[in-house]
Amino acid sequence: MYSGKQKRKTLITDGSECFLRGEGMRLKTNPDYKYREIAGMHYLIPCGRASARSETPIQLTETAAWIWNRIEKEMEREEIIVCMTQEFEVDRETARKAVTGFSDMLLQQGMVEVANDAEKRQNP
Amino acid sequence: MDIISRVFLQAVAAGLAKKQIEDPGLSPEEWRRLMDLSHEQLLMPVVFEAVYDSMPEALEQEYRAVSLALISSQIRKTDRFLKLYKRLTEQGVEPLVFKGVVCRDAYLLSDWRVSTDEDIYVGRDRFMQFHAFMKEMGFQGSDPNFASEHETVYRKKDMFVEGHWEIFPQENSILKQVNTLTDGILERAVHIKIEDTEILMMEPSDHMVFLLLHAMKHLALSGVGIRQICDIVQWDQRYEIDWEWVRTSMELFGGIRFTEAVLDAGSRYFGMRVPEGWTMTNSQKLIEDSLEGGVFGHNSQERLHSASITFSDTEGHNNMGYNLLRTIFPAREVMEIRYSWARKNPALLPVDWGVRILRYLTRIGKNNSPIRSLQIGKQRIKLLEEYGVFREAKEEDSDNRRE
Repeated sequence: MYSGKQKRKTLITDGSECFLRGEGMRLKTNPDYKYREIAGMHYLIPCGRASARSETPIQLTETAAWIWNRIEKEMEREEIIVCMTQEFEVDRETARKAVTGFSDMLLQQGMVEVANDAEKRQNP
Repeated sequence: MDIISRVFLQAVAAGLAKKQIEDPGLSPEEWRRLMDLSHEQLLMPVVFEAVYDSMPEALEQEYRAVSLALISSQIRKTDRFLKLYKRLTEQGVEPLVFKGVVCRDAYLLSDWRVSTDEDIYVGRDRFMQFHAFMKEMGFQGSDPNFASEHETVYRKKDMFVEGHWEIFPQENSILKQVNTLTDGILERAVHIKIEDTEILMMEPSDHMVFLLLHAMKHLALSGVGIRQICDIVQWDQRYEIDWEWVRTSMELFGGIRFTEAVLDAGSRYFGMRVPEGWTMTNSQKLIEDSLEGGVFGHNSQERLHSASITFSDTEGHNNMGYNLLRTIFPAREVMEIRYSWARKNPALLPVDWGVRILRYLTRIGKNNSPIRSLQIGKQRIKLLEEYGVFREAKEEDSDNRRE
Protein backbone atom coordinates (compact mmCIF):
# COMPACT_ATOMS: atom_id res chain seq x y z
CA MET A 1 0.00 0.00 0.00
CA TYR A 2 1.54 3.23 -1.11
CA SER A 3 1.73 5.92 1.52
CA GLY A 4 3.80 9.02 2.13
CA LYS A 5 4.82 11.68 -0.37
CA GLN A 6 2.89 11.53 -3.65
CA LYS A 7 3.68 13.96 -6.42
CA ARG A 8 1.24 12.68 -8.98
CA LYS A 9 -0.86 9.58 -8.93
CA THR A 10 -2.87 7.95 -11.66
CA LEU A 11 -4.75 4.73 -11.73
CA ILE A 12 -3.92 2.67 -14.75
CA THR A 13 -5.14 -0.68 -15.86
CA ASP A 14 -3.23 -3.56 -17.34
CA GLY A 15 -5.60 -6.31 -18.41
CA SER A 16 -7.84 -7.08 -15.47
CA GLU A 17 -5.42 -5.77 -12.82
CA CYS A 18 -5.07 -2.26 -11.55
CA PHE A 19 -1.83 -0.58 -10.49
CA LEU A 20 -1.07 2.65 -8.84
CA ARG A 21 1.29 4.61 -10.99
CA GLY A 22 2.84 7.80 -9.85
CA GLU A 23 6.11 9.07 -11.22
CA GLY A 24 6.99 10.35 -7.75
CA MET A 25 6.53 6.83 -6.41
CA ARG A 26 9.46 5.32 -4.57
CA LEU A 27 9.91 1.61 -5.04
CA LYS A 28 12.13 -0.87 -3.28
CA THR A 29 13.45 -4.14 -4.59
CA ASN A 30 12.29 -7.43 -3.14
CA PRO A 31 15.32 -8.80 -1.21
CA ASP A 32 14.45 -12.28 -2.49
CA TYR A 33 15.78 -11.20 -5.91
CA LYS A 34 19.53 -10.63 -5.91
CA TYR A 35 21.00 -8.66 -8.77
CA ARG A 36 24.37 -9.81 -10.13
CA GLU A 37 26.43 -8.90 -13.18
CA ILE A 38 27.95 -12.20 -14.24
CA ALA A 39 30.50 -12.21 -17.06
CA GLY A 40 29.11 -9.07 -18.69
CA MET A 41 25.43 -10.01 -18.42
CA HIS A 42 22.83 -8.92 -15.90
CA TYR A 43 20.72 -11.32 -13.86
CA LEU A 44 18.25 -11.41 -11.02
CA ILE A 45 18.71 -14.56 -8.96
CA PRO A 46 15.61 -15.72 -7.09
CA CYS A 47 16.23 -16.78 -3.46
CA GLY A 48 14.08 -17.54 -0.43
CA ARG A 49 10.35 -17.47 -1.18
CA ALA A 50 10.95 -16.31 -4.74
CA SER A 51 13.00 -19.45 -5.45
CA ALA A 52 10.06 -21.62 -4.41
CA ARG A 53 8.29 -20.26 -7.51
CA SER A 54 11.28 -20.61 -9.84
CA GLU A 55 15.03 -20.91 -9.38
CA THR A 56 15.77 -19.85 -12.94
CA PRO A 57 17.88 -16.68 -13.12
CA ILE A 58 16.15 -13.81 -14.93
CA GLN A 59 18.34 -12.11 -17.50
CA LEU A 60 18.00 -8.32 -17.72
CA THR A 61 18.93 -6.01 -20.57
CA GLU A 62 21.44 -3.21 -19.93
CA THR A 63 18.61 -0.68 -19.55
CA ALA A 64 16.56 -2.93 -17.26
CA ALA A 65 19.63 -3.51 -15.07
CA TRP A 66 20.24 0.24 -15.01
CA ILE A 67 16.66 0.88 -13.82
CA TRP A 68 16.83 -1.99 -11.27
CA ASN A 69 19.99 -0.53 -9.74
CA ARG A 70 18.33 2.85 -9.32
CA ILE A 71 15.27 1.28 -7.73
CA GLU A 72 17.65 -0.55 -5.40
CA LYS A 73 19.03 2.84 -4.35
CA GLU A 74 15.41 3.79 -3.59
CA MET A 75 15.35 6.65 -6.08
CA GLU A 76 11.89 7.96 -6.93
CA ARG A 77 10.57 7.09 -10.37
CA GLU A 78 10.66 10.75 -11.32
CA GLU A 79 14.35 10.92 -10.42
CA ILE A 80 15.05 7.77 -12.41
CA ILE A 81 13.27 9.22 -15.45
CA VAL A 82 15.26 12.46 -15.24
CA CYS A 83 18.50 10.50 -14.80
CA MET A 84 17.67 8.39 -17.83
CA THR A 85 17.08 11.40 -20.09
CA GLN A 86 20.55 12.65 -19.13
CA GLU A 87 22.49 9.39 -19.24
CA PHE A 88 20.93 7.84 -22.31
CA GLU A 89 20.19 11.13 -24.13
CA VAL A 90 16.56 10.20 -24.75
CA ASP A 91 13.49 12.43 -24.50
CA ARG A 92 11.39 12.43 -21.38
CA GLU A 93 8.51 10.49 -22.92
CA THR A 94 10.79 7.64 -24.00
CA ALA A 95 12.41 7.54 -20.56
CA ARG A 96 9.01 7.65 -18.83
CA LYS A 97 7.73 4.73 -20.92
CA ALA A 98 10.82 2.65 -20.21
CA VAL A 99 10.89 3.32 -16.47
CA THR A 100 7.17 3.02 -15.75
CA GLY A 101 6.72 0.07 -18.13
CA PHE A 102 9.54 -1.92 -16.54
CA SER A 103 8.75 -0.99 -12.96
CA ASP A 104 5.06 -1.78 -13.40
CA MET A 105 6.03 -5.20 -14.68
CA LEU A 106 8.33 -5.69 -11.65
CA LEU A 107 5.48 -4.62 -9.34
CA GLN A 108 3.14 -7.04 -11.04
CA GLN A 109 5.62 -9.87 -10.57
CA GLY A 110 6.27 -8.96 -6.93
CA MET A 111 9.92 -8.27 -7.70
CA VAL A 112 9.66 -4.74 -6.33
CA GLU A 113 7.23 -3.16 -3.94
CA VAL A 114 6.18 0.34 -3.04
CA ALA A 115 8.59 1.67 -0.44
CA ASN A 116 7.17 2.86 2.81
CA ASP A 117 8.54 6.35 3.01
CA ALA A 118 7.52 6.67 6.63
CA GLU A 119 9.63 3.61 7.49
CA LYS A 120 12.50 5.03 5.50
CA ARG A 121 12.33 8.28 7.46
CA GLN A 122 12.40 6.35 10.74
CA ASN A 123 15.31 4.16 9.67
CA PRO A 124 17.35 6.24 7.26
CA MET B 1 54.42 -25.10 -15.83
CA ASP B 2 52.28 -25.78 -18.91
CA ILE B 3 50.21 -23.21 -20.76
CA ILE B 4 46.94 -24.31 -19.15
CA SER B 5 48.34 -23.81 -15.65
CA ARG B 6 49.80 -20.43 -16.61
CA VAL B 7 46.52 -19.20 -18.13
CA PHE B 8 44.61 -20.60 -15.15
CA LEU B 9 46.70 -18.62 -12.64
CA GLN B 10 46.44 -15.44 -14.74
CA ALA B 11 42.70 -15.90 -15.09
CA VAL B 12 42.20 -16.47 -11.35
CA ALA B 13 44.14 -13.27 -10.57
CA ALA B 14 42.13 -11.28 -13.13
CA GLY B 15 38.78 -12.84 -12.18
CA LEU B 16 39.31 -11.97 -8.51
CA ALA B 17 39.51 -8.32 -9.59
CA LYS B 18 36.61 -8.71 -12.09
CA LYS B 19 38.98 -8.15 -14.98
CA GLN B 20 39.54 -9.94 -18.27
CA ILE B 21 42.78 -11.45 -19.49
CA GLU B 22 44.04 -11.01 -23.03
CA ASP B 23 42.93 -13.75 -25.40
CA PRO B 24 45.38 -16.58 -24.64
CA GLY B 25 44.72 -18.15 -28.07
CA LEU B 26 43.77 -21.59 -26.78
CA SER B 27 42.34 -24.38 -28.94
CA PRO B 28 38.86 -25.70 -28.01
CA GLU B 29 40.54 -28.71 -26.40
CA GLU B 30 42.80 -26.43 -24.33
CA TRP B 31 39.80 -24.31 -23.28
CA ARG B 32 38.15 -27.46 -21.98
CA ARG B 33 41.30 -28.41 -20.07
CA LEU B 34 41.41 -24.92 -18.57
CA MET B 35 37.79 -25.10 -17.47
CA ASP B 36 38.25 -28.65 -16.11
CA LEU B 37 41.18 -27.42 -14.03
CA SER B 38 39.09 -24.45 -12.85
CA HIS B 39 36.29 -26.79 -11.88
CA GLU B 40 38.66 -29.12 -9.97
CA GLN B 41 39.94 -26.12 -8.07
CA LEU B 42 36.40 -24.87 -7.33
CA LEU B 43 37.26 -21.65 -9.14
CA MET B 44 35.25 -22.01 -12.32
CA PRO B 45 33.10 -18.88 -11.98
CA VAL B 46 36.20 -16.80 -11.14
CA VAL B 47 38.08 -18.08 -14.20
CA PHE B 48 35.05 -17.75 -16.48
CA GLU B 49 34.67 -14.12 -15.41
CA ALA B 50 38.20 -13.48 -16.72
CA VAL B 51 38.00 -15.40 -19.99
CA TYR B 52 34.40 -15.41 -21.28
CA ASP B 53 35.13 -12.80 -23.92
CA SER B 54 37.98 -14.80 -25.44
CA MET B 55 36.18 -18.16 -25.59
CA PRO B 56 34.64 -19.63 -28.74
CA GLU B 57 30.91 -18.84 -28.67
CA ALA B 58 29.66 -22.41 -28.20
CA LEU B 59 32.01 -22.98 -25.26
CA GLU B 60 31.19 -19.57 -23.84
CA GLN B 61 27.48 -20.47 -23.75
CA GLU B 62 28.17 -23.87 -22.23
CA TYR B 63 30.39 -22.57 -19.44
CA ARG B 64 28.18 -19.52 -18.85
CA ALA B 65 25.32 -21.89 -18.04
CA VAL B 66 27.53 -23.83 -15.59
CA SER B 67 28.96 -20.69 -14.03
CA LEU B 68 25.50 -19.13 -13.68
CA ALA B 69 24.17 -22.30 -12.07
CA LEU B 70 27.08 -22.41 -9.58
CA ILE B 71 26.77 -18.74 -8.65
CA SER B 72 22.96 -18.90 -8.36
CA SER B 73 23.15 -21.96 -6.16
CA GLN B 74 25.77 -20.26 -3.97
CA ILE B 75 23.63 -17.11 -3.64
CA ARG B 76 20.66 -19.22 -2.51
CA LYS B 77 22.77 -21.26 -0.08
CA THR B 78 24.27 -18.10 1.44
CA ASP B 79 20.80 -16.60 1.78
CA ARG B 80 19.52 -19.73 3.54
CA PHE B 81 22.56 -19.90 5.80
CA LEU B 82 22.24 -16.25 6.84
CA LYS B 83 18.55 -16.76 7.68
CA LEU B 84 19.45 -19.89 9.66
CA TYR B 85 22.20 -18.03 11.50
CA LYS B 86 19.81 -15.21 12.38
CA ARG B 87 17.36 -17.72 13.89
CA LEU B 88 20.15 -19.47 15.76
CA THR B 89 21.20 -16.14 17.25
CA GLU B 90 17.61 -15.43 18.25
CA GLN B 91 17.64 -18.79 20.08
CA GLY B 92 20.62 -17.63 22.11
CA VAL B 93 23.18 -19.74 20.23
CA GLU B 94 25.58 -17.44 18.50
CA PRO B 95 28.08 -19.64 16.72
CA LEU B 96 31.46 -18.52 15.52
CA VAL B 97 31.56 -18.70 11.72
CA PHE B 98 34.75 -19.55 9.89
CA LYS B 99 35.81 -20.26 6.27
CA GLY B 100 32.73 -20.37 3.96
CA VAL B 101 30.62 -17.25 4.15
CA VAL B 102 33.20 -15.08 5.95
CA CYS B 103 35.85 -15.97 3.35
CA ARG B 104 33.38 -15.28 0.55
CA ASP B 105 32.67 -11.89 2.06
CA ALA B 106 36.34 -10.99 1.64
CA TYR B 107 36.08 -11.48 -2.14
CA LEU B 108 35.07 -8.68 -4.50
CA LEU B 109 32.71 -11.16 -6.19
CA SER B 110 31.69 -13.11 -3.14
CA ASP B 111 29.28 -15.60 -4.72
CA TRP B 112 31.87 -16.57 -7.33
CA ARG B 113 33.75 -18.34 -4.52
CA VAL B 114 31.59 -21.42 -4.28
CA SER B 115 31.78 -23.72 -1.28
CA THR B 116 30.12 -26.97 -0.43
CA ASP B 117 29.40 -26.24 3.22
CA GLU B 118 29.46 -23.69 6.00
CA ASP B 119 31.52 -24.17 9.14
CA ILE B 120 30.43 -23.01 12.53
CA TYR B 121 32.04 -23.47 15.93
CA VAL B 122 29.55 -23.88 18.72
CA GLY B 123 31.71 -25.27 21.50
CA ARG B 124 30.91 -28.27 23.68
CA ASP B 125 28.69 -26.53 26.22
CA ARG B 126 26.09 -25.28 23.71
CA PHE B 127 26.33 -28.13 21.23
CA MET B 128 23.25 -30.08 22.29
CA GLN B 129 21.11 -26.94 22.14
CA PHE B 130 22.47 -26.32 18.66
CA HIS B 131 21.86 -29.95 17.68
CA ALA B 132 18.22 -29.78 18.85
CA PHE B 133 17.70 -26.58 16.87
CA MET B 134 19.15 -28.08 13.69
CA LYS B 135 16.87 -31.12 14.01
CA GLU B 136 13.90 -28.84 14.52
CA MET B 137 14.85 -26.95 11.36
CA GLY B 138 14.73 -30.22 9.41
CA PHE B 139 18.47 -30.90 9.14
CA GLN B 140 19.74 -34.47 9.24
CA GLY B 141 22.90 -35.05 11.27
CA SER B 142 25.52 -37.31 9.66
CA ASP B 143 26.74 -38.60 12.97
CA PRO B 144 23.89 -39.28 15.42
CA ASN B 145 26.28 -40.82 17.97
CA PHE B 146 28.79 -37.94 17.80
CA ALA B 147 31.58 -40.45 17.21
CA SER B 148 33.81 -37.80 15.61
CA GLU B 149 36.06 -35.95 17.94
CA HIS B 150 35.41 -32.50 16.58
CA GLU B 151 32.37 -31.99 14.35
CA THR B 152 29.23 -33.33 12.81
CA VAL B 153 27.73 -32.45 9.45
CA TYR B 154 24.08 -31.40 9.10
CA ARG B 155 22.33 -31.62 5.78
CA LYS B 156 19.09 -30.28 4.40
CA LYS B 157 18.66 -30.69 0.63
CA ASP B 158 21.84 -29.21 -0.92
CA MET B 159 22.82 -27.29 2.19
CA PHE B 160 25.55 -28.62 4.48
CA VAL B 161 26.50 -27.10 7.81
CA GLU B 162 29.48 -28.46 9.72
CA GLY B 163 28.84 -27.92 13.41
CA HIS B 164 32.12 -28.02 15.35
CA TRP B 165 32.67 -28.46 19.04
CA GLU B 166 36.41 -28.36 18.29
CA ILE B 167 37.80 -26.46 15.31
CA PHE B 168 40.29 -29.11 14.17
CA PRO B 169 40.08 -32.89 14.50
CA GLN B 170 42.04 -34.22 17.46
CA GLU B 171 42.81 -37.67 16.08
CA ASN B 172 46.35 -36.77 15.04
CA SER B 173 48.76 -35.65 17.71
CA ILE B 174 49.99 -32.70 15.65
CA LEU B 175 46.52 -31.54 14.80
CA LYS B 176 45.70 -31.73 18.49
CA GLN B 177 48.22 -28.96 19.11
CA VAL B 178 46.26 -26.83 16.71
CA ASN B 179 43.30 -26.78 19.03
CA THR B 180 45.32 -24.79 21.52
CA LEU B 181 44.73 -21.96 19.06
CA THR B 182 41.14 -21.88 20.24
CA ASP B 183 42.26 -20.55 23.64
CA GLY B 184 40.72 -17.12 23.98
CA ILE B 185 39.30 -17.22 20.48
CA LEU B 186 35.76 -16.39 21.57
CA GLU B 187 36.91 -13.48 23.74
CA ARG B 188 38.69 -11.98 20.75
CA ALA B 189 35.89 -12.70 18.24
CA VAL B 190 34.35 -9.79 16.32
CA HIS B 191 31.05 -9.07 14.59
CA ILE B 192 30.75 -8.28 10.89
CA LYS B 193 27.66 -7.59 8.84
CA ILE B 194 27.04 -9.78 5.82
CA GLU B 195 24.05 -8.53 3.88
CA ASP B 196 21.74 -7.70 6.80
CA THR B 197 22.97 -10.35 9.20
CA GLU B 198 25.43 -9.83 12.03
CA ILE B 199 27.92 -12.66 12.08
CA LEU B 200 30.35 -13.55 14.83
CA MET B 201 33.72 -14.48 13.38
CA MET B 202 37.27 -14.93 14.59
CA GLU B 203 39.29 -11.77 14.97
CA PRO B 204 40.83 -11.30 11.46
CA SER B 205 44.42 -12.16 12.50
CA ASP B 206 43.17 -15.28 14.33
CA HIS B 207 41.27 -16.25 11.19
CA MET B 208 44.38 -15.68 9.09
CA VAL B 209 46.30 -18.07 11.36
CA PHE B 210 43.40 -20.48 11.07
CA LEU B 211 43.41 -20.28 7.25
CA LEU B 212 47.17 -20.89 7.15
CA LEU B 213 46.97 -23.83 9.57
CA HIS B 214 44.02 -25.25 7.69
CA ALA B 215 45.98 -25.02 4.43
CA MET B 216 49.00 -26.59 6.13
CA LYS B 217 46.83 -29.42 7.42
CA HIS B 218 45.63 -30.08 3.88
CA LEU B 219 49.21 -29.97 2.58
CA ALA B 220 50.16 -32.59 5.17
CA LEU B 221 47.24 -34.78 4.06
CA SER B 222 46.80 -34.64 0.32
CA GLY B 223 47.30 -31.09 -0.88
CA VAL B 224 46.40 -27.41 -0.72
CA GLY B 225 44.10 -26.03 -3.39
CA ILE B 226 44.69 -22.77 -5.22
CA ARG B 227 41.43 -21.52 -3.74
CA GLN B 228 42.86 -21.87 -0.24
CA ILE B 229 45.75 -19.63 -1.30
CA CYS B 230 43.23 -17.19 -2.82
CA ASP B 231 41.31 -17.14 0.48
CA ILE B 232 44.49 -16.12 2.31
CA VAL B 233 45.27 -13.39 -0.25
CA GLN B 234 41.71 -12.02 -0.20
CA TRP B 235 41.63 -12.11 3.60
CA ASP B 236 44.83 -10.08 3.77
CA GLN B 237 43.42 -7.55 1.31
CA ARG B 238 40.14 -7.21 3.21
CA TYR B 239 41.43 -6.94 6.79
CA GLU B 240 44.28 -5.39 8.73
CA ILE B 241 46.34 -8.38 9.78
CA ASP B 242 48.74 -8.44 12.70
CA TRP B 243 51.49 -10.34 10.92
CA GLU B 244 53.63 -10.48 14.06
CA TRP B 245 50.86 -12.44 15.75
CA VAL B 246 50.71 -14.66 12.66
CA ARG B 247 54.46 -15.25 12.97
CA THR B 248 54.22 -16.10 16.68
CA SER B 249 51.40 -18.57 16.01
CA MET B 250 52.89 -20.16 12.93
CA GLU B 251 56.24 -20.58 14.71
CA LEU B 252 54.40 -22.49 17.40
CA PHE B 253 53.12 -24.92 14.81
CA GLY B 254 56.21 -25.09 12.61
CA GLY B 255 54.60 -23.20 9.77
CA ILE B 256 56.96 -20.33 9.07
CA ARG B 257 58.45 -21.66 5.82
CA PHE B 258 55.01 -22.73 4.65
CA THR B 259 53.66 -19.23 5.37
CA GLU B 260 56.61 -17.72 3.49
CA ALA B 261 55.79 -19.95 0.52
CA VAL B 262 52.12 -18.91 0.61
CA LEU B 263 53.22 -15.25 0.71
CA ASP B 264 55.50 -15.91 -2.25
CA ALA B 265 52.66 -17.54 -4.21
CA GLY B 266 50.26 -14.78 -3.20
CA SER B 267 52.56 -12.00 -4.30
CA ARG B 268 53.86 -13.78 -7.41
CA TYR B 269 50.45 -14.73 -8.83
CA PHE B 270 47.69 -12.84 -7.05
CA GLY B 271 49.07 -9.40 -6.23
CA MET B 272 49.43 -9.90 -2.48
CA ARG B 273 51.65 -7.40 -0.68
CA VAL B 274 54.34 -9.07 1.37
CA PRO B 275 53.98 -8.01 5.02
CA GLU B 276 56.82 -6.04 6.54
CA GLY B 277 59.54 -8.16 8.10
CA TRP B 278 58.68 -11.32 6.16
CA THR B 279 60.94 -12.99 3.66
CA MET B 280 59.70 -15.39 1.03
CA THR B 281 60.33 -19.05 0.30
CA ASN B 282 60.05 -20.17 -3.32
CA SER B 283 56.51 -21.43 -3.85
CA GLN B 284 56.99 -23.16 -7.20
CA LYS B 285 56.68 -26.68 -5.81
CA LEU B 286 53.73 -25.74 -3.64
CA ILE B 287 51.93 -24.29 -6.67
CA GLU B 288 52.76 -27.33 -8.81
CA ASP B 289 51.46 -29.64 -6.09
CA SER B 290 48.32 -27.51 -5.75
CA LEU B 291 47.66 -27.51 -9.49
CA GLU B 292 48.09 -31.25 -9.66
CA GLY B 293 46.02 -32.00 -6.60
CA GLY B 294 42.70 -30.19 -7.10
CA VAL B 295 40.83 -28.27 -4.50
CA PHE B 296 42.04 -30.14 -1.41
CA GLY B 297 44.36 -32.60 -3.09
CA HIS B 298 41.37 -34.81 -3.90
CA ASN B 299 42.06 -35.17 -7.62
CA SER B 300 42.86 -38.88 -7.71
CA GLN B 301 42.49 -41.99 -5.62
CA GLU B 302 46.28 -42.42 -5.69
CA ARG B 303 46.74 -38.97 -4.18
CA LEU B 304 44.12 -39.64 -1.55
CA HIS B 305 45.82 -42.91 -0.64
CA SER B 306 49.15 -41.11 -0.50
CA ALA B 307 47.65 -39.04 2.34
CA SER B 308 48.26 -42.06 4.59
CA ILE B 309 51.98 -41.73 3.92
CA THR B 310 52.28 -38.02 4.47
CA PHE B 311 49.96 -38.21 7.45
CA SER B 312 52.03 -40.89 9.14
CA ASP B 313 55.14 -38.91 8.25
CA THR B 314 53.87 -35.98 10.27
CA GLU B 315 53.74 -38.43 13.19
CA GLY B 316 57.45 -39.16 12.71
CA HIS B 317 57.35 -42.58 10.99
CA ASN B 318 59.49 -41.84 7.96
CA ASN B 319 60.18 -45.40 6.95
CA MET B 320 59.34 -46.93 3.57
CA GLY B 321 58.18 -50.27 4.99
CA TYR B 322 56.01 -48.51 7.47
CA ASN B 323 54.70 -46.27 4.71
CA LEU B 324 53.88 -49.23 2.48
CA LEU B 325 52.03 -50.83 5.35
CA ARG B 326 50.27 -47.58 6.02
CA THR B 327 49.14 -47.27 2.40
CA ILE B 328 47.26 -50.52 2.78
CA PHE B 329 46.44 -50.24 6.47
CA PRO B 330 46.01 -46.54 7.02
CA ALA B 331 45.83 -45.35 10.55
CA ARG B 332 42.34 -45.20 11.98
CA GLU B 333 42.51 -41.41 12.00
CA VAL B 334 43.13 -41.20 8.24
CA MET B 335 40.44 -43.73 7.51
CA GLU B 336 38.08 -41.70 9.60
CA ILE B 337 38.96 -38.54 7.78
CA ARG B 338 38.25 -40.15 4.43
CA TYR B 339 35.43 -42.57 5.16
CA SER B 340 32.71 -41.01 7.22
CA TRP B 341 31.06 -44.39 7.86
CA ALA B 342 34.20 -45.51 9.65
CA ARG B 343 33.60 -42.79 12.21
CA LYS B 344 30.29 -44.37 13.06
CA ASN B 345 31.57 -47.94 12.99
CA PRO B 346 35.24 -48.13 13.96
CA ALA B 347 34.76 -51.87 14.51
CA LEU B 348 34.22 -52.30 10.77
CA LEU B 349 37.63 -50.88 9.84
CA PRO B 350 39.21 -54.33 9.22
CA VAL B 351 36.47 -54.94 6.64
CA ASP B 352 37.60 -51.91 4.75
CA TRP B 353 41.23 -53.04 4.97
CA GLY B 354 40.17 -56.30 3.32
CA VAL B 355 38.34 -54.42 0.58
CA ARG B 356 41.38 -52.25 0.09
CA ILE B 357 43.84 -55.16 -0.24
CA LEU B 358 41.54 -56.83 -2.76
CA ARG B 359 41.20 -53.64 -4.77
CA TYR B 360 44.97 -53.10 -4.72
CA LEU B 361 45.73 -56.65 -5.78
CA THR B 362 43.33 -56.39 -8.71
CA ARG B 363 44.78 -53.04 -9.77
CA ILE B 364 48.47 -54.04 -9.66
CA GLY B 365 49.58 -54.55 -13.21
CA LYS B 366 46.76 -52.45 -14.59
CA ASN B 367 47.80 -48.97 -13.66
CA ASN B 368 50.13 -49.56 -10.71
CA SER B 369 47.86 -47.61 -8.40
CA PRO B 370 49.58 -48.59 -5.10
CA ILE B 371 53.00 -47.86 -6.58
CA ARG B 372 51.74 -44.53 -7.86
CA SER B 373 50.37 -43.77 -4.37
CA LEU B 374 53.78 -44.50 -2.92
CA GLN B 375 55.48 -42.31 -5.53
CA ILE B 376 53.10 -39.45 -4.82
CA GLY B 377 53.52 -40.01 -1.09
CA LYS B 378 57.33 -39.87 -1.37
CA GLN B 379 57.24 -36.73 -3.49
CA ARG B 380 54.86 -35.14 -1.07
CA ILE B 381 57.03 -36.01 1.96
CA LYS B 382 59.87 -34.18 0.19
CA LEU B 383 57.54 -31.26 -0.32
CA LEU B 384 56.62 -31.24 3.38
CA GLU B 385 60.35 -31.35 4.21
CA GLU B 386 61.05 -28.49 1.82
CA TYR B 387 58.44 -26.32 3.52
CA GLY B 388 59.31 -27.61 6.98
CA VAL B 389 55.69 -28.51 7.59
CA PHE B 390 55.16 -29.34 11.25
CA ARG B 391 58.88 -30.08 11.64
CA GLU B 392 60.04 -26.85 13.15
CA ALA B 393 57.27 -26.68 15.72
CA LYS B 394 58.29 -24.99 18.92
CA GLU B 395 57.35 -26.29 22.29
CA GLU B 396 54.22 -24.44 23.20
CA ASP B 397 55.07 -21.41 25.21
CA SER B 398 52.09 -19.94 26.95
CA ASP B 399 53.86 -16.57 27.20
CA ASN B 400 53.65 -16.29 23.42
CA ARG B 401 49.90 -16.43 23.36
CA ARG B 402 48.11 -13.22 22.63
CA GLU B 403 45.64 -11.86 25.15
